[in-house]
Amino acid sequence: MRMAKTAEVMSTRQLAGILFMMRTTVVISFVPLITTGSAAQDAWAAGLIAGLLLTLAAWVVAGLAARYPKLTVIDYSRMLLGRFFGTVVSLAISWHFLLIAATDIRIYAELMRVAFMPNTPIWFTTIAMVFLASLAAWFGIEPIGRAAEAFLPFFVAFVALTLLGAAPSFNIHNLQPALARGLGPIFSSVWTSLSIGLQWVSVGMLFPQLTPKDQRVRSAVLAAAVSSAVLAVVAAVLVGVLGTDLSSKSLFPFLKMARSVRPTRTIERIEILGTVAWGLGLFAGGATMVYCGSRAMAQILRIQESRKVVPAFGALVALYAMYAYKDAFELVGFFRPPGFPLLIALTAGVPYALMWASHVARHLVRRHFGRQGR
Amino acid sequence: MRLIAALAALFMAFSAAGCWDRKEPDDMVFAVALGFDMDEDGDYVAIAQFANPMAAKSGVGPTSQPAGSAPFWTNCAKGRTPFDALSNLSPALSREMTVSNIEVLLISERLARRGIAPIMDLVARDNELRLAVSAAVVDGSLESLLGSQLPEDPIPALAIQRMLNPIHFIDPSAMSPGLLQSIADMLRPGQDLLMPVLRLNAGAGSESGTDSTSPGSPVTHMGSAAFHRDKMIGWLDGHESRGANFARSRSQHAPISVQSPAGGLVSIHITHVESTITPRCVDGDVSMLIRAKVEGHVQAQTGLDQGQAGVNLADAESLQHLRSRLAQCVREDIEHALARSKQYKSDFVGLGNAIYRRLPQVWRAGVGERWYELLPDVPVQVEVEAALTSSGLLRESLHY
Amino acid sequence: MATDLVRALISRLKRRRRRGGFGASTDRSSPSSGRNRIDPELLADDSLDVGARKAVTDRLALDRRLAENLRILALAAGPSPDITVRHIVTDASLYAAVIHLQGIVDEERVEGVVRTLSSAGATRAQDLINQLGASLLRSSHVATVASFTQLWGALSDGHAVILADGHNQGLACSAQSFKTRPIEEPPTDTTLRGPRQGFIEDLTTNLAMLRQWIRTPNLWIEETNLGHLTHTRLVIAYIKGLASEELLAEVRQRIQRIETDSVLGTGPVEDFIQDTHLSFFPLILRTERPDRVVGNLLEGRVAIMVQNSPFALVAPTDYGMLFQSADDYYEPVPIVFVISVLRVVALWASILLPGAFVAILTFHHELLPTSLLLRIVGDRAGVPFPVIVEVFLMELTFELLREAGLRLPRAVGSAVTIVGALVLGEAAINAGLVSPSVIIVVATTAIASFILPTFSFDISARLLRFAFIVAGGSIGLFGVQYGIIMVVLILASRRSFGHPYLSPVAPFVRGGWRDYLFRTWHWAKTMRPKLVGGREPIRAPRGQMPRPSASPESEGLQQMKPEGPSDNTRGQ
Repeated sequence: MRMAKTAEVMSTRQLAGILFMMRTTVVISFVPLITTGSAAQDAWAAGLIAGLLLTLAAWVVAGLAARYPKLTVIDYSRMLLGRFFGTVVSLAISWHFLLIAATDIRIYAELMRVAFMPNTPIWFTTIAMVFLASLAAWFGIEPIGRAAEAFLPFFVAFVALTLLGAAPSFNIHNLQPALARGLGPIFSSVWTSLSIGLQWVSVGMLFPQLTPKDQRVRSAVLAAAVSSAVLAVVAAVLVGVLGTDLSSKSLFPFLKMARSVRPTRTIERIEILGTVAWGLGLFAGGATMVYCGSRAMAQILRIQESRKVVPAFGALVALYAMYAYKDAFELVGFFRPPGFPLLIALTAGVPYALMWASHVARHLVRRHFGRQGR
Repeated sequence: MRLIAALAALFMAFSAAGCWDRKEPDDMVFAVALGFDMDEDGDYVAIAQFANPMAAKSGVGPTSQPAGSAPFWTNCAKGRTPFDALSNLSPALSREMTVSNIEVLLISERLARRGIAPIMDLVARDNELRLAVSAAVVDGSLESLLGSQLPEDPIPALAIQRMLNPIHFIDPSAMSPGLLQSIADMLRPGQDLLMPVLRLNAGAGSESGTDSTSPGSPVTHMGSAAFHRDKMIGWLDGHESRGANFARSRSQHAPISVQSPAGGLVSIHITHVESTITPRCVDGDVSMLIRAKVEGHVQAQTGLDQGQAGVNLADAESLQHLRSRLAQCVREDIEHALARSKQYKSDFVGLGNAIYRRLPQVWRAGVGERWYELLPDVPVQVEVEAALTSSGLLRESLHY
Repeated sequence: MATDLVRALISRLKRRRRRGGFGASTDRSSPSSGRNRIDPELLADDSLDVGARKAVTDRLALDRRLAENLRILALAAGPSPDITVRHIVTDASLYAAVIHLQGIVDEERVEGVVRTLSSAGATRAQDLINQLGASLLRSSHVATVASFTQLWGALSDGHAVILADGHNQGLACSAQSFKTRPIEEPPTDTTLRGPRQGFIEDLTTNLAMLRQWIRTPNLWIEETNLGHLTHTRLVIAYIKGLASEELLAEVRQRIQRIETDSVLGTGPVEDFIQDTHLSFFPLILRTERPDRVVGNLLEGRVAIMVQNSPFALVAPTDYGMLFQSADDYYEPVPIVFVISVLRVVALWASILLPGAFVAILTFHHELLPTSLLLRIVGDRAGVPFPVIVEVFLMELTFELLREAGLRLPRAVGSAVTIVGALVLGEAAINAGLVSPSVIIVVATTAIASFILPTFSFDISARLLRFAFIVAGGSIGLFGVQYGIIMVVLILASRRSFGHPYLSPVAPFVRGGWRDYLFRTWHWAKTMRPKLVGGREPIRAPRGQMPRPSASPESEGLQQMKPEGPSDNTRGQ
């Protein structure tokens, strides 16, 4: 594929930052650790378990990408699974990018409508955010990476400040009895949170863009671990402040928590921090997803310059975001287990397992024949 | 070039789109306090206190000021549901009402006894109302309370909010930092809500805006209301409320007067209370142990006339005496509160919650479902440990 | 027929690209001899336009006859009174003339030239010129002129040109004495503790100032001429071996691509060589101070200077450089840190504050504490405009005041701005047209915008501010956030001469933060910025912080020598 005029590179720090922000944004929006499944006060434990599993999944994805450092997942899926199945998997992965971008943007638009501006129609917020993401994808992954790097400290600071502001209202009793209900309820909350880790598939597309000395598996795995730790903390604080019932029944618990506390006499209203953080993270994630999706489609359709696909892909994302979900109920219902986790397991888990199997088989065959052939 | 055109188009769309959610501050009237009552027909009554910023800027006006320049005014309306009642306030207003800035949410006794769950649902669901407002039950006429002027602030809602949220609280989860605490208390298994109470003083039912000529504030923050699930069951007076706070470690600065070994009374200012509730289950019988640690310092004495020396804190025996008296007083307060709790079948101390947290399998085994029946018979043992940190700025009492 | 020839010449001229590297002033056409001689009488035709005249003069060569050369001069340059021709008959009875332009030569030196010329003993014109050039003239610089372009170039550079009757080459000898203003502190970039030097309009003096700062031979300067009609001198300066060759190639290439008729200062040059013309953030730094230029040169950047402009351009630039002022090098480090943070906060506050104010008041009342909200609303009571219109009006008024203050004579200008602002604000409040809170916001914004040390940045900030007001007023804080993301995204996609614009913020270059926010003491500046000065990363050895000497009895006993401590002896 012909590269753009300046070879687009990004640093591993930028990639890790993007992954971290992407995951943290979606999960602090509606906190599936609490709102799906029945972990209740043990949501933090569910978060830790989901984090562990996600770190493993990140290693699976990034490890395979590292074995083929100059190829994207579209390329080596066709190589490893054959033309037909490879194309099927590639299409599935492109659809993943579409799904993630559209769903994230739709959640954000719902938040805007429900919490801040009730009369602003969904299509407006959706199209505005899709436009921004597409514009960023048009510029390329380099500006996205740099902008994400510029936003990362603010993102972290705002989330941390919101948690700090809610901390005085924290009541440890809400988290007790800890782990008393057994592992079953905890695991029921793990799956959705884990499945949202689908975002790590973007590593497969972006790995070739890293500078050669940066192409390590470590950063993707680290991003998974750190973001999951953050989520576990967020879940713990949420339950501690709001209580299990209120937090699991809220549509956007993080926002609810920010709205329900009054940190000091002068600084009374802190929900704007969380919302701005969310917007920044959504931009980083959405732009990356549109970029990855455009490149994936360009590779599948053998179009030389992926930039040309960006407007079309953006339009698809906007349409999907507006019409795939009728309303907020359907949106939230989409994520409920077992539907969503099963879907992701089938469309992403199985392909990756097959690809790894194929890769290991090739490796063994090569080694075996290599030894024999001498 | 096309990019610019697209951007320009978007830009114009932004500005021309009509800005759906635009709310010019001039087009709004701000409700600063909200009260809910219920009338005889079972309809909800919403009473809102609106701020008049123009007049509020110039401070409290004298009685001779013409109407319309009072810093606040109230309005009330009826409806079948709380939201209905709230919406029915609008027809009487010349501007759009917004409740996003209310400071306090008041509930009348009548409505509290009928059940506050619908109100809580409204507050948790609405996107303008926040759970950070302070809430209280009103003993007296809700309308006149919302209509009366408090001396500290031209807009009474702000004064009431400060009253419910005193600066000086030690434990952050004090009496009523906000509705969040109240809802969390209600929803916690094995715990009931205890809401602060605002009492309207007799003779303070003045119309909105006019200066109250009677001395003092028309409103007092004293006592609490105990709830059984979401319905109010009864009142707790000052001592019982204090005892409940001791038991829940949510005490503020509490003064207690104890008998002095040297005659008279000694006032001790309790600064720190920490208590733990430990449940025990022996052969299916549940019993509780409440252990409280209390810390305070001596603030004042009586009985110093006729050359009495007063209590001498350097003397170990008097110190011990005082401590045990203090512990005795605290224990009595807690036990009074527990007696009320059992009487009302309202577990505001959180005994059930302690079982839920510490002995979850016991709770699940059936105690949880039958808790309200078991509550009156649960033996509770109260142990108090008191400490005196200092005697103020005087080492010894002065001789007269 | 003559005009056809001229037109053909013009089209050839327009197609011609300047070839060859930079060097000393080169003439653009070699004088033709014999075959394609141009008749200078063409210039007498008044209907020729500038391009045609240029085409003719470019091809003119000097004649053997003195009278003919003087006629060419009169035809090409017109009856200008400042062209002074001094006819001389030498002691050897040769006719010669000394030509100079009044006002840019030192008359005494010209007299010296005349004296030398008149006492020269050569009998043939060619020998006369050679002898003068080789030994007789005392001027510090001589050059031969063979074409009209060279003749005029020498004249306008302040040389005196000697023409002899009988030889088709003349001699130019230096006698410059430009009248320029004295070196004084630049008005746009003042410091408290630094030197009070600023560049002036004379390029030679500016280069001299640079040479005085960098006294090693590594400061290389390349010169060229720009502009068909103006022939403005332009130089680039860099430290050879430190500035990357790719950067130099890029700079040279962009400058050599410029084809225009006039270059009036560094502004047009900036327009030509910037990365993109639609940038609202400056992509090249403009400064008047030699110490800032030198500081940047020492980090591996390239400076571009133009005759008749006291501003120097420094490329590449990044976002962090816009917050630097000359004072940062001369003030104590903790103060500099606090003030740097203040500058960054001030810039973003000046861009975002009015927009956020409008957004919060119009869309998000719930974000303000109740007492503040009631106070603001109370003050606004009776104002007939919506908030966004109010803010827009006041911002516009401030902009008008600011521009007016620039045009007025200095004594009155500042008074008008301050008093005007106060009176206007007060009167507007009393008339009930605006509210005090809006005045406070607008005034704070204006004050914050004056903190920025780089003036060209200020203009972009002003434009952005209005955009944010519109965005905030139409969709609230969502719009403001959208705008922020858009601005940061566009900044992140910009490059200045290949250097990513948002560094050191993104890509995060740790060393770069030392010039952006976290200034350190000079002894701690051991490394150069990675992206620009990467060829020679180590600037100084470590461990030079002030500390008591280990052996005070034996150090510092020898007197200092002019050679200085030898470079790179310690540490490396």
